[in-house]
Order: sequence, then C-alpha cells, then structure tokens
Amino acid sequence: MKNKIYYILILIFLFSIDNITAQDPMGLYYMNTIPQSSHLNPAMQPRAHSYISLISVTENFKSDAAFKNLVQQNGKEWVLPYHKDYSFRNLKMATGKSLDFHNNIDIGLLGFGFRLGSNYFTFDTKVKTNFNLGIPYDFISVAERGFPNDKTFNLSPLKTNVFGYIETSLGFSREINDNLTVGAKIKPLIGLTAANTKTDNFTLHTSRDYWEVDYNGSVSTSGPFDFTITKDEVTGDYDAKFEFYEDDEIVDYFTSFDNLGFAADFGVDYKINHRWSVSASLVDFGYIRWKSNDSYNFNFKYSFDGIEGEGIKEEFDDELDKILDEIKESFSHAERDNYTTNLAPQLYVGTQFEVTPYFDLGLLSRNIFYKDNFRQDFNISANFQPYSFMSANINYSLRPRGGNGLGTALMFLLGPLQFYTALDYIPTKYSDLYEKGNEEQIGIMFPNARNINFKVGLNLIFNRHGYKDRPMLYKY
Amino acid sequence: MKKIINIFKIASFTLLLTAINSCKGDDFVINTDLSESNIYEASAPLIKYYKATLADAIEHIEDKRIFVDDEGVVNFSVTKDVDIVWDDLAKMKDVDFQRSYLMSEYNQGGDRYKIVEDISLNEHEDARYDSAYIAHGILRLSFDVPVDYKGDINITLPQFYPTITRSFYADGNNTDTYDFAINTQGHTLRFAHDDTYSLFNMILESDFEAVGDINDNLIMKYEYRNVEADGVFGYFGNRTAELKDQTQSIDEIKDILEYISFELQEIKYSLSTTNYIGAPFDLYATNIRFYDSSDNDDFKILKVEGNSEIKVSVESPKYNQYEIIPIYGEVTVDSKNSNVLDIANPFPEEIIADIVAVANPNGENVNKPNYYTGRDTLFAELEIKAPLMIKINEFTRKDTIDFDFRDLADNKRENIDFIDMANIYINIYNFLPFDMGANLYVIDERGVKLDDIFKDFKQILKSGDIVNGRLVDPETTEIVVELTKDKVLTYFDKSAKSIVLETKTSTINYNTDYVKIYDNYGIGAKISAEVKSQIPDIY
Repeated sequence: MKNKIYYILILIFLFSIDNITAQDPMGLYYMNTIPQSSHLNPAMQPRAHSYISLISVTENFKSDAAFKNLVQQNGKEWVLPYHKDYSFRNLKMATGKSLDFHNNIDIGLLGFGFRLGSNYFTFDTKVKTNFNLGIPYDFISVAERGFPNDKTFNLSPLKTNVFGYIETSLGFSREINDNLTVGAKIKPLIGLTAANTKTDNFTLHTSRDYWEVDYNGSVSTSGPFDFTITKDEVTGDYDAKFEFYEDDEIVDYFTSFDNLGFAADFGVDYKINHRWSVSASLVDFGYIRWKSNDSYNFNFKYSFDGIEGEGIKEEFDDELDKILDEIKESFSHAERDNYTTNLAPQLYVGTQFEVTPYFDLGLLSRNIFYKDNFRQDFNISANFQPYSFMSANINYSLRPRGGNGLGTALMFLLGPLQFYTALDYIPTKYSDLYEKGNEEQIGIMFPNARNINFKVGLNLIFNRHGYKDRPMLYKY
Repeated sequence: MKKIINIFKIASFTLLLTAINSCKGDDFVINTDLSESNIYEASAPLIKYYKATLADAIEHIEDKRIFVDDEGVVNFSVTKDVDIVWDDLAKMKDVDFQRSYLMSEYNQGGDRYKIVEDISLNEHEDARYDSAYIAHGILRLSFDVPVDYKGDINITLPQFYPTITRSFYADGNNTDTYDFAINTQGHTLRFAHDDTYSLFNMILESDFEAVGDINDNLIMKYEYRNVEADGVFGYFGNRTAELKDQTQSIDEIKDILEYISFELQEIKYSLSTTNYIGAPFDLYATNIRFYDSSDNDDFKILKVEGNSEIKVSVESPKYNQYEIIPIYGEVTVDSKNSNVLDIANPFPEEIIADIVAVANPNGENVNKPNYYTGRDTLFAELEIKAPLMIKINEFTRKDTIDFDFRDLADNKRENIDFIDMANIYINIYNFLPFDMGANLYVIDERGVKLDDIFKDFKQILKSGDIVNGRLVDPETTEIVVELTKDKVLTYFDKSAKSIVLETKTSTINYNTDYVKIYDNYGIGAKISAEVKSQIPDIY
C-alpha cells in the first residue's frame, strides 16, 4: 500500500510539472545495473560481478539558452533580439556573461571490470572530444543598442575550444565497511588534437571621441599540422599558414605521445541506514599538457580617434594608410611553448532513498566548473530495477537558469549482452515556425530544448543476477 | 504473467507521461518586421584634427598669380607679358643690283683695269655697323665681260676676314656670263664706312691679254640677300617700337568678388623689363586704362604724378664670349605716387596699356657700342599686385545648394523613416582673421522655408586676437548639426529641394583695421558623429 502511495505521489508530482523540457543525463547515476554508472561516481560498484564494455557512444550538447530564450514571446507573437520589445534582461538571465555552447562526443572503446571481495576494479578506454564556444553577452548586446556613446563592451568571455583525447582509466572501489564505500580512478590522457583560444582581456570601447580595442589572448593548436603566423618586419603584414602533415608524419605525430595529461576521479558512498544513503564524487579533475603545438600569444591595443592630417586633398589614401600601419604596429604576437588544457571537473552530490529493493528515489546535484563559468543541475529520479533483464529510470532535471526536462534510462539484458540507453532530452514539445504575415511554415522547433543528450552502449555482463547478497528479483 | 503485467505497467506509465507531455505546442509566429526594431546607436570619431592652411591651398591651386612674399603674406598678382621684337634693329640690308662699268673710266694704264664697288648693308642711315659675324649669307656675283676682252680677273673682298678672293679667266667673246656664289658664312665682316653707310668693297682687278672697245661696258650683278649675323657691333640708331592696347584680364575677379567682397589696403602696378639686346632702351607704358564693367563701362586712367605714363630705362647688358647677362629694370607705382588704389580696389576686370620702346634713347655712347647676338626680343611685363591686407565689412552672401530630399530617398518614405537621429559635431579651429556667422535652412521648390538648421547668423567662425599684426592662436567654435526623425520626415513629406546658406563675414575690427593674410593661416576641424536608427528594410 505504502509503495502504491509513493507511486501515485510521483505521478502527481510529474503531472504537475509544467513546461517539461529537456534535461541533463544524470539518470545514469543511480543505475548501478549499468556498469557505466561508475563513470559518474567511482565509488558506485556495479551490480555485475564482472563485465566487458564493448562500445558506447555519448553525445552531449548543451546550450545556455533555448530557442525560447533567444526568441521571446510578446503577446501572441515571438520577437527577435532586434525587436523593440525584446527583453535583454531575460536573455542575460539565461546566458549569464557568456552564451556558451558545449558539445561532447565520447566513444567508449574497450573496457572491463570485476569484483574481488570488497574491491571492484575497472578499466576503460575512450576517445573523447570536446567543443566549447563562448559568445560574450556584451557581443550579443550590440543587438540591443548598437554602439552608443561612452560604452565599454567586455568581450573577454569569448572563447573557442576544441580538443580530442584518449582517456584510459583505471578504477578501484572498496567497501570499507557495511556503510562506507570509497572509490577512485586514475586516468592517463593522451591528447590527439586541439585548438583553443584563451582570452585574458578583450574590451571594446565606443564613444564619439574614440574607439578602442584592447585584446590579450592566445591561440593554441596541436595536431598533425603546422600552423604558423609570421609578421613581415618591413611591411608589418601578417601571414598565416595552415598545412597538414604528410601521411607518414601524421602517423609519427599520433604515435609520439607528446601531449600527455592526467585526470582523476574520486567518490564516496555512505549508507546512513538501510534506506538512506548519501554519495558524492569529483570527476574529470585533470589536464592535458600540449607539448607538440603551435601556439601564439597576441596583443592588440589600438585606439582610433579620427583621421589626422593636413593640406588640401581629394583623397585620404595617405591618412588611411597611416591608420592601417598603426593598426599593424599595434598588433604583436609571440610564440609560446607548451600550453595546458584543463578539463571541466564535475562535482556530484546526491542522496538515495530505497522504497523497495527494486524501487528507489534519488536526488542529485551536479556542478560543472568551466573556466569563466559554472553550471549547476538538480535531478530527481525514480529508479526501477524489478528484473535482472531490465531496469528503467525516469528522472526530472532542473537548471537554475531554466532548461528543465524529463529523462529516462533503459537497460535490457539478453543473455550476457546488455543494451542500455539513456536519453537526457525526450522531445516533449514542438512548435511549428512561421514568419508573421506569411502562411508558409518555415520549420519545426523544440522551443524549450537546451540540450541534446543521449548515451547508448553494449556490455557483456557476467554473474548478472547479482549484487552479491541482494537478489534483483522482486517478490511481492 | 505477473512479470508481463508489471512490465506493461511500467512501460505504459512511461509512455503515458511522455505522451501527455509530448504535445504540440503553440505555433511560433515570429515577427520579423523591421519597422518595430530597436533604435540602434553608433557614435564614432571621424576627424581627429584636420587642418588646411592658405599655403596648402596655394600649393593645391597652383595658380602663379597667388604667391607668398618674404614676410609670409599672401599676395595676388596678375601679369601681362609683352614681347617687343627688334628683328630689324641690326638687320643687314638685302643687296640686289646691277652696275655697268665703262671700261675707259677704270683703266689704270695699259691693259690694267680696277673697279671698286661699295656695297652697303645698313638698313637705317643713322645706324653704323662696325663688324658682323656672318652666320648665313651667299654673295652672288655675275660678270658680263665686254667683247674682245680676255684675261685673268681677280676679285677681292678685303673687308671680309679671312679675305675673300676669286680669280677667273674671262673671255668677252664667250657669250656666257661668269657667275660666282661666295659663301660668307663664318667670315667676319669689318665694315668700311662713308658718311652714311657701313659697307664692304668689291675690288675687281685685271691685266687683260687682249682688250676690245674701251667704250664698252663690263656689267656686274650683285646679290647678297637674307644675310644673318650672329653678332653685329656698332650703333643701331634711335629706334622706336610701339605695341598698342596690351590687355591684362582678371576674368575671375567678378566671381571672386561675388564670393567674398573685400577692400585692399595697397595695390601696386609695375612695369619691368629684361634686356638681352645690346642697346639701351627706354620702355613706356602709357594710356593705362582700368576697366570694371560695374562702373558704367567707363575706363579709369591711371595717373602717376599727374601723367598717365610709367617709364623704365635699362642699359645694354654685359656680354662675354659665353653668355649675355641681362639687365633688369622695374618701376612700381602705388598709392603713394598714383591713384591706383582709388581706381582699382580691389581689382579691375581689365587693364589696357600702350607700350612704347625706344632703342638708344640718348643717342650713341661711343664707350658702349651696341651689339646684337641674335636675341632680338625686349621682354617686358606689366603687373598689378596686391598683398592681401584686407578689410571685409560684413560681407553677406547667399548660396543655394541643391538638396532634393525625395530624390535622395528614392521617393520612398520607408527609405528614411528608420532614421531616429543623426548629429554631426564639428569643432572648428579658426586661424583666419575672420568672423563668420551663418544661417542655414531648408526650403521647398517654391522657396518656402521648411526648417532652420542655423539661424540668427550663428557664429561658426570666430577670429582670434591679433598681436603685432598676426593672429596668435586659433579660436574654437563648436557646431552641432542635428537631424531628428521629425525633420527627416518633414523634408520628405514637404519635398525639400534646396539648402540655403547665408553668411556674413567680417575681418576683425573692420571699421579701423586691415588684416594681413599670412600663408600659415588656415582652418582646422574635428568631426564626430552620432546616429540612431532602426534597421532599414533593404528589401
């Protein structure tokens, strides 16, 4: 009876949620029938005695703003940022000081794990890619007023980061006692290719008296190519060249292992009593040092306060040439040696309540620490693990700046072959797009979506019936 | 069975929840109407400081009439070159005559005969040539020997250096005449003289082998034409050349005076000459007439100390074997000794003068012989000149500039109604000794005023202080030209056609003082702009 009440309460809770939108894939955290749950907390020991992970693919796209943040409702119609009734305050609430886009694609290669007494050992290999684009809010705010008098635009959050690397992780988890389990992973990293911009300072000041651009930053690249920037000492002209290696040089590059890094995961799981447990983990705390690279620091500071000159002229070619020369001279660059890319560590903190041995509720907070930014999500989940051959999770995520959503995870076991999938965004609501005054539909949009997130994979599970002393079968 | 039911329940529950929330939301009707766009601002500096001086303007215009004197004051002058050609000053007369010589008159005894003929070359009787370097001249002699006379004949031209001689055997029974063409080029001719003429002798001598009738005639023809000399020395006589109605035109003066009317403090008029000819000259400009069409088409006569005549005298230039160092002479009249300032302020449209040149006005100077080297032109120049020391007394001017606003907007209101505001900020740094106020307004095709941009003769230029005759520092005026949305729409709706600029200009202390205009005077400006507008609908 009590279980049915819980069931009904969850239903009511989920029904009462309005604007169900996409969410983050945190449903995997409490799905310990799926060995990959240990990726989120190394202390979480999978139920299987042992496993081999065959392949998995994870796609994770996140945006600070959904379509409906960028295109805002105004009565019965929707307006674009150049409309006079558009609220940039609302936009800034969604974006913060930078509109960030992140996209990660991970491909899990071979992995395995096994239990030895109270200990659990894991090994995984993945190819991970990361793309991050940051558009400063001040850049977008040009659409609000343009370039007014005496205004300084802070464009420092501008960034573009792309990198790919191989992650090999060695994990260890131990049940210290009946209540406490701790775990850790060490993850040597091999950088494959990268292109990063780092902006230390980038401002634009506009006024009737002068316009000034001040930029300090760097561009760093690493890959099977040469990227060179040279400045002609006489003319001051810059020349940039990008040239891929020859085939044999590409092989040499990838086998040189010049770009090495290291990351670590830490986790802890503590059972308060037979129903309540709390857990926390710090994941992807690490860096990659790119020794084989072409990197440059750039400095540019130029102030334009008008054309200066004298004499009677019909053309201002000389004065314009002088300005171009000044701009060239204001631009300087220097080669830099090694550079380091830091991963974005994630901190998970959660609590779980076991309603029944096959049904539990979870509450989780995930905090992602980007450079210049911070993201926080909360997740409530209901985890069903009634049978050894299937389990399911329904969860709901909340982001303080919006982007709430329904998610799910499913696992099916056919013999030793386990198929699992976790979807962070189920397209729940869509809208047809029209242009005002035009009856022809121009497209379909998921207005509330900020994320595209899914994970799918295959494992071979051994001794699947077990958690060592907790049968998976539910007995009514 | 129970298992299947439980699976079904879970799946159904999930699907139901998803289905309920997987509904189609309201359509997104996106408003792309640009007429409802934000107002965007752009402020930018355009010109930080740009200056142009009168020196720059002078260099740009490249008009030789405008120049800067040693003091740095801008001057305006108009010159008229007058070339007085003296191509016949030392001209060799053409010789072409025939003479019969009665043999009996020239017998020297026996069969010897001698004939001396004088050949004169001076064009004018009061001229005397002492020597000449012949550059070109063929002397043609033709002999018709009388019948039965035979023998050698010798011709000598002793005044030529080197001496020219010719000999030939003549036979009077031969019906042919004996012709000689003697090239005198390169010879120096040292003239003989009689009371009137400068001449050379042709001496014919013969000791005939056989003679005929003593009363017969030897006929000779002489031809010596188009003789040119590189140098002629002597005395060329008192000669006069006259060129009437030499006109200086200042065509643009009317346009300039319409643009800016001013009064000059001083005007100078001068006559100058450069003499390459080896003779002294007196040069006169007479009957000097100043013409201004605004003065009832009457000429005003320049009077210099009561006479309408200016005279300049030059000596003969020095000469060495390499070059002639010309002699320059100039005479200038101004307000102190003439009425030039009264009749030509600021400048007339035309100045007309008669030019007279007199060579050797005082007769011969035996210590300074005349010479002629082929340079036959006496160069003269008439110049009217004024340094720009001016007064401008509230000169007003009105200019109308085409400004078809509808045409600019391509006759579409939507092409301009997105403009909310456009301001131009101009700081003018005035380094000219002028104050200038301006009215600027927009009118329609009927001349009805639509809008005032500047009114009440807004001061746009302010003169700085003058210390010891020179401006010390520039004065700054700030002007804002404002264009609002209402104005833009008014210009369109009411079809603005023209912009009228009325200016009132004065020099500083114009009631009492003239100001000198130095070439380092000028104007500088700083310009910035501010624009507010919506996004134009370019489609």
